[in-house]
Amino acid sequence: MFREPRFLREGRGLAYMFLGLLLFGPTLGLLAIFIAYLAGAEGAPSWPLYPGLVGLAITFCLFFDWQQSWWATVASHYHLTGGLSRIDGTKSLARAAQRHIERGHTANDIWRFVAALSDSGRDDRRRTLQDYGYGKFVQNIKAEPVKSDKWGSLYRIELWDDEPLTVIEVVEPKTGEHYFHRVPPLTRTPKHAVAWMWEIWAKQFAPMNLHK
Amino acid sequence: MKKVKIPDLSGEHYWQGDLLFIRRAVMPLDATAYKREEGERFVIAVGEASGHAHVVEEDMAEAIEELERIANNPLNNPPMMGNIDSDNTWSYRVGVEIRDQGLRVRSFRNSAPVTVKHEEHPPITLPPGAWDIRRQREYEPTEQTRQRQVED
Repeated sequence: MFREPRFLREGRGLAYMFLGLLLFGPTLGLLAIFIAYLAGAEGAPSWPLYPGLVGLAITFCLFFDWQQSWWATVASHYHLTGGLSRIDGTKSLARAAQRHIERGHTANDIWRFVAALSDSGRDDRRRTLQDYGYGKFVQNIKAEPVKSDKWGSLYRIELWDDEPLTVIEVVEPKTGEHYFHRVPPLTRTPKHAVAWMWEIWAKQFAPMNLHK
Repeated sequence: MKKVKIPDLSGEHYWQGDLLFIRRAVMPLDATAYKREEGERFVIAVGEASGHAHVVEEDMAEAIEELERIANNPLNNPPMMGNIDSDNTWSYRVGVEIRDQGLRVRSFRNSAPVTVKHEEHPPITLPPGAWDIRRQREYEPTEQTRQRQVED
């Protein structure tokens, strides 16, 4: 089970820089130390030694961070499932995901947890999320809408190793009830999402009894 | 002087829960007149999950002149036109996939405003015209068609 370090989860831009550092850090570090050794052999000052040591230190830190978060995940899963490493069905997975939410973990943590426990692959994870309920999921992790207008609020939650979860929240104006529906992942605006649900072009869509 | 609110009845789409009513210019060619029994409610769709139905109440159903009822129409039987399922609902084919919208009625025409009621949703008033009925869909990656019908 591979668990990427924390920086890789939070942003992509810095992630690749650190990944490059992780790959080339030891090489450059050892090269710098070798240059320092050669320079030292001729009696020059030893300052080229320090970048090499810094490179090695960063590499060690990255590796340590990855190891730590990996073990933290394992411990967390063990704790949340009550010592079980495999779970019998998607219902109990959903219950365990609920425990994750109660502990204030993020969407990606929960998704990762589901990924770790369901060995049959992506479909199992999707079914787990479906059983749990998209609306409940979006509400419980306190997701922020990517766009809101008079048609509703559109949420997009990035999921590790799967297409993003895009959900439209519609509020019925008379009753004030909230409805959550999943829409295709690349949907950009609430209006497009609502029009997609009815198989109608967004330009054409203009219901009279809502939002008027 | 009493103020009278005049409803705007120029809408093209009317939304009630998982159904959308779409105005169409004329009735479909294969539509048949449906004789309503005495005291029979005009049921448009029934949700499988809760059993709640979209219905037009009795007094309002008087205004419905002509509507298409699936079971009464022999033209719906050929596969090009769509199929009647065993539960008396309409399904049709889009490309290679078969959509079962779970509707009792595909379209209808009314000469006076009618009110559509539902147990969970507020009633809507449809102005006179011909109407298509469409069921809401939801994106679902576990399905082979990657979508499923929303059931109230």
